[in-house]
Amino acid sequence: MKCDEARDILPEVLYAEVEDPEVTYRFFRHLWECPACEREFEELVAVRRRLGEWAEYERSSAQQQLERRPLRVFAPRRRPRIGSWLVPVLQTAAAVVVAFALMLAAQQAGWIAAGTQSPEELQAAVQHTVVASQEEQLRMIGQALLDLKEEMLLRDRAVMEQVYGDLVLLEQRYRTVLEQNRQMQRLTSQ
Amino acid sequence: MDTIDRDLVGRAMAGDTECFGRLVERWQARIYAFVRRYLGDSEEARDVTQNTFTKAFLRLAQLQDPDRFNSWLHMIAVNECRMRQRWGRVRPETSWEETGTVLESRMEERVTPLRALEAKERLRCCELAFRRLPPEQQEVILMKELQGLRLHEIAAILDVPLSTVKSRLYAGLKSLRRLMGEYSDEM
Repeated sequence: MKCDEARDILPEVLYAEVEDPEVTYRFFRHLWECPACEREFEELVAVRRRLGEWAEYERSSAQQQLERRPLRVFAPRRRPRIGSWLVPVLQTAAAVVVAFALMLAAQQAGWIAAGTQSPEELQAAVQHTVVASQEEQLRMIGQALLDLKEEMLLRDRAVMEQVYGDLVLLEQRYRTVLEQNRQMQRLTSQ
Repeated sequence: MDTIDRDLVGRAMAGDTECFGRLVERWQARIYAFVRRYLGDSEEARDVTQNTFTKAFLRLAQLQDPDRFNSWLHMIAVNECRMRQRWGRVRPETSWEETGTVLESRMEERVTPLRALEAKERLRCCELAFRRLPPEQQEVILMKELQGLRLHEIAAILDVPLSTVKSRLYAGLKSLRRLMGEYSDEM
């Protein structure tokens, strides 16, 4: 082996990445015969030792920094889909409307026997359904807000902030309407 | 990469985001250490590390082979660092007080104060010498020494031939030898 060849494989030998033992043998045999290459190799081994100490310090110092102040890396629990909340909300709302319409129609047609349910009782029942449904919808909007907050970390902030703002308004509106309906419920039950 | 990581990567690629969260926990210190030394700025490094994992999550579908997660993650980190350097947002910092604290906490009861001081000075020499290397040599030395990546992995991450990695590493180590000698003489 010549000096040029030895220098070429020196990094691999230094980091024990030579796959062929024969090559390693030829490298060290060359060092035995060439004091200049041997000195150079020894110097680089010393540099590696110093770098090893430095790398160990860097790793433990980084670890300590993260322990003192953890990163806020997004570790998603699940991947929310935009609009995933909309379908169930609309379905629930539609179900309430259909149930209400059916009850009115049944009463009009006389299918619900007179005296079975007074208009006040009917109103209370409908009110109960509306409040229960809105409570569920409000819960779903809350969940959607949490999901979107996570999604905002991942997607285009401007667009997501707009959607987030809209949802906050929607939540406020629902909260107000729900409060009104709860009051109505309390009045009808009295 | 060990079997736990391989399993987590496989599950994360199949859509299990909990597993991705666990990968973040397992890899964040390593990536942060690398980025912090690459940029020389702890605050920027925090930001870049967070971006690296966010991008990794978004691009998980592009990862063909779970076994290459390590190289792939480093590739994203290197690109993020380079981008940050292009924007010129990085101001290298020095925190030797912290160096002392970390060393002392690790070496307490094992070494004398004199030994601790010597170790601190050795690290200081290393750090100063490292900063004077050209960026392409710094990259390769960080990946090799700090991250323990294999030479062919570094070549893949940097998208350069193996011979280029070897020559940068060789030149970098030789320069470090010379520069460390200069700093040691000064002290």
